[in-house]
Amino acid sequence: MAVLHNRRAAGGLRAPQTTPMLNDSSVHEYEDKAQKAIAAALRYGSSISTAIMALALILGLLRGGADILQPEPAALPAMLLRRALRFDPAGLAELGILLLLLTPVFRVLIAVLAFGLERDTKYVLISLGVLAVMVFSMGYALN
Amino acid sequence: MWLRLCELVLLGVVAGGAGSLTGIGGGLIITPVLTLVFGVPIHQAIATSLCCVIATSSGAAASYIEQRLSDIRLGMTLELATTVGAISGSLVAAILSREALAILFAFLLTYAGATMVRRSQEAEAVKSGGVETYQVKRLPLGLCGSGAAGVISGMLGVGGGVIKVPLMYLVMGVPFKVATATSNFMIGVTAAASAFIYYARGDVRPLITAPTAVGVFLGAGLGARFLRRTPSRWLILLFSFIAFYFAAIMIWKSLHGGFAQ
Repeated sequence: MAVLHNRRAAGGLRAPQTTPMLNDSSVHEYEDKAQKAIAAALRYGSSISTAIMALALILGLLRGGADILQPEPAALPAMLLRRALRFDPAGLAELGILLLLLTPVFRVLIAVLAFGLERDTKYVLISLGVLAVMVFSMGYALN
Repeated sequence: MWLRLCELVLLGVVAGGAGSLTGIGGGLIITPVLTLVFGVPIHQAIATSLCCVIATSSGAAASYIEQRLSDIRLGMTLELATTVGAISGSLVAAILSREALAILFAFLLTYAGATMVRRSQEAEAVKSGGVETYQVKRLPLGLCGSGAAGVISGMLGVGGGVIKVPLMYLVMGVPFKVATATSNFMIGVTAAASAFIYYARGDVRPLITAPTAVGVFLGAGLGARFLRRTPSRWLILLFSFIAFYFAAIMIWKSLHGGFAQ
């Protein structure tokens, strides 16, 4: 197993040298795109969710105190979205938190796709395994 | 209420800034301050800390990936262990009493403080050394260690860098810089896996989490922009001192029923 890790450190997503079918330049192209996509998912996911939380705080404060931020317990995602679209501060805050928690899930999803494009079956399976664990955790949260 | 929200944002800014300055995750600061200063129940403090850890690590992880320092393949492989560990850790935390959790957290703080003291003596030595070809060694052992790091992350709401970085660097033969970047890469996924469990139990309180996470995000951004230099030896020592202090108070309060409500 360790042999597959024998590679240059500089390319985090570099396909193993033995990958058939792809010539060098297309491997680099995929790898570049995949890394950019993963970095973008992390960056946008965390900034957008933080911006939503900040908006919730500001709206809550403008509308007379933080009590308004007190959430109604156990809102369903669809309800949450509807409340957030009405610019209800509590709904917005909770939506921001959920988006923040979902950011790493998106990141794993993108890794699955990226390894798939590189035809790197082993790492598609590993990423799917991680995704499965996260889906289990989310399923627990929904119950 | 206004004031308290502002204080939480400020706590986040300090924790986020200190995190990017010393390399010690904000989670080690947020949980003790929330429990000891703000009187938040420790399970809610840990849940808040987990969310903040996702917010801070994401930005840094993105730039490490762009600098090609993260070993994404190794990270994904070890995440199999950290996520399972994190879920187990959060389920264990759910049945532990506040006192037990506080004492465990105090042990972690002491360990992290000791690591910082040691690092303050070798801060320069670690900085040098580029990224060269390497071969990952002892993967099974690495997976076990990552599982343990996941348990600690899920149980105590920290990123777990204090365990994963030495594990990869000393045990698995990964260069220090790559170990740091790869550890950071794993934090978000690990924290999210256990954060959903805390969310399900109602421990993620928007009123506490939203202001702290916003602050941490700002603090980490500011820290990365303006404090790019290696922190001075004295600053690291100061932070280790704070860690020991918090650890002592948490143990004292636990033994004297300070967390019972």
